[in-house]
Amino acid sequence: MVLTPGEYIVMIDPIWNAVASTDKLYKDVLVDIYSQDLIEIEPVDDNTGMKALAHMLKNFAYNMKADARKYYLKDYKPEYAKVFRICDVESTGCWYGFFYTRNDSAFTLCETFTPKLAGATVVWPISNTEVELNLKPGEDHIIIVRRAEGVCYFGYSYLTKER
Amino acid sequence: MIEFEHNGSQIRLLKVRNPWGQGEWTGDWSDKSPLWTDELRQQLNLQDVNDGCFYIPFEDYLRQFLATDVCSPCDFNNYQHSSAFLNFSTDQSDQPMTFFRFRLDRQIDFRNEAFAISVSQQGDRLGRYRLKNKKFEPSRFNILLGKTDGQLAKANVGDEFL
Repeated sequence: MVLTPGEYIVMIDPIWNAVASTDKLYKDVLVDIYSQDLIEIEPVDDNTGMKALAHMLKNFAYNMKADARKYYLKDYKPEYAKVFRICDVESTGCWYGFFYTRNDSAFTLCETFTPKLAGATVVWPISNTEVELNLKPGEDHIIIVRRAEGVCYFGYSYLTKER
Repeated sequence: MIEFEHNGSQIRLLKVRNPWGQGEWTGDWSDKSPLWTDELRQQLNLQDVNDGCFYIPFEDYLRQFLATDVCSPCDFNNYQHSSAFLNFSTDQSDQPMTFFRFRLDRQIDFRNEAFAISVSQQGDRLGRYRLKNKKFEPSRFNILLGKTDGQLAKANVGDEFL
């Protein structure tokens, strides 16, 4: 593995077990970095961190194999043939998944998207119900989901609106 | 590891040191084992003391130890250490996770040098002294490392990361 120069963000997300609630000290976590260089660890507020996380997962989704993309509107709305969605809860390597939508068509995509989850919650954007997508050509959107249990149900519904 | 012939059989022994400095293997080829000859004891300077150092047959080692870590020797004088507490117990945020950042001014190639990020929780000593002997089970962590330019470097769930 190679880490290239630049600024890095680390997300730490504990999956607390039953023991953790027995003493508050169990929930104090120490982070250490060992390196040949002195590394300064700086706290990052949640909003900045979540934006960075969304940025990273958008890139991750966009660079997944082509067969992960579902061009779900191509048979119904030919003008949106270049709109695709990726739903994934396993590829990141941690208990995070996402609904990624990208509009590569020449038109604005307006859609009401409703995640349907069990054993998982939406952590970005902060909403567990409907999300209104309004994607101009070339724009994308991500809904980040955190699994709370080993087994989860991961579905959605959507309503694409007329232009 | 040492290897020699004994009564027509090939014997492979590992020399192990218990880092606590006491507590040893008591089976075949342990300090008190009758299998040792005086000549072998002398050659290996084997002493029957509970100092944590002992020999154990390779096959028994595989049965008794669940995991083996291999350490690469490195010059720790060249390494520096930074740390920070993440106080989840007092965190009022609605979100379960927390974030921090750091900057690298040069490339780190893991083939040439060590670089480690570790996340530690209070251990079972706290369980013994504060929780009246309740058994401690460490929690797991989702850990994700990426660059602010959007490149995801690594994500993991568990108790080991980089």
